[in-house]
Amino acid sequence: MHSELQARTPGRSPVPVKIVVAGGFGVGKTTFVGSISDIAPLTTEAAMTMASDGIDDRGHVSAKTTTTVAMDFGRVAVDSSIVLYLFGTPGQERFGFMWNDLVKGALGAVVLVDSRRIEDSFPALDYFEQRNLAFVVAINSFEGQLFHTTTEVREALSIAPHVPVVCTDARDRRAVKGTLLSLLEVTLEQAKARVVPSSR
Amino acid sequence: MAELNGHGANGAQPPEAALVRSYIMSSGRATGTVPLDIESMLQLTWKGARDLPRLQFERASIASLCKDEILSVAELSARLHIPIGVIRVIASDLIVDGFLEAYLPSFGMADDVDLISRLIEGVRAL
Repeated sequence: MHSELQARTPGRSPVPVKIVVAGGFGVGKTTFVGSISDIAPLTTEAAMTMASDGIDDRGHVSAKTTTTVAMDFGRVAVDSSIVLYLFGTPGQERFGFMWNDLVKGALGAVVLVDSRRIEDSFPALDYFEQRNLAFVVAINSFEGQLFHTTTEVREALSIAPHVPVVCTDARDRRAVKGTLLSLLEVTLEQAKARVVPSSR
Repeated sequence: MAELNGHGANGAQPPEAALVRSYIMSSGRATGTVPLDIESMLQLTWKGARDLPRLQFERASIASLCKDEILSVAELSARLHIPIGVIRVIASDLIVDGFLEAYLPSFGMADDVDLISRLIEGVRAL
């Protein structure tokens, strides 16, 4: 802890916690964040270094570039000291990307999947798997409809057994809460598994 | 860490002008002394409150917003329409000067069973 920075405030110091909400363009990331946030989602701009692995929308083949992307986020006061920040990843699905800044220090991630466009979630899944970050896969229903079951999505995306695949509705606060709880429970299990039995 | 290549806040400016302006705001630096994450939260100190009338430009804007609320780097960026990288540098200076106090994310959070348990309890109660 950074006690020298936190000495002054009476009571418990605020503890920011970050969860990343990822997924393809238009999958409902901002809606998801907005359903649970205490504030209307805010937009900020972040610079991202992108190692382009293909051809951009204008038909140019580009090398590594830095671009500015809009990022939506919300904030939830979880208790008297914990403040949860939910950051929607900017949609740069067709590129290799550097979310490092966004993901650094994150507790976990929710990968939102549109089951009509499953492949859009590949980059996010790959990224979190490589980074060893706890995540859940949440299939967002559109107009209350799910086009595939969780089992079908799990198989189609070859999701590891320890990663939960859940159904959600980005517009519904309770569903969003449930999705976050699945993520937190996985995070808790992983934390417990890593704790070396000590003399405590 | 360098985030100053982005377009600035003012949509009316050409990107080049916004870029130059970003550099000027942060005196050409890309990173600050205090490592601030986008979710790091900031609050005005008593010294900051005392000296607030003497602060200028973006330093004043950031400090004023942190007077009544504890705000994250990302929130300051969104509210002030200033790129995150620039907020980081200026806020870092304000911390070093003793005007702002930072609440950083807890290190090793993913292994912190107590914190995660509190989160679960809190989210359930939302």
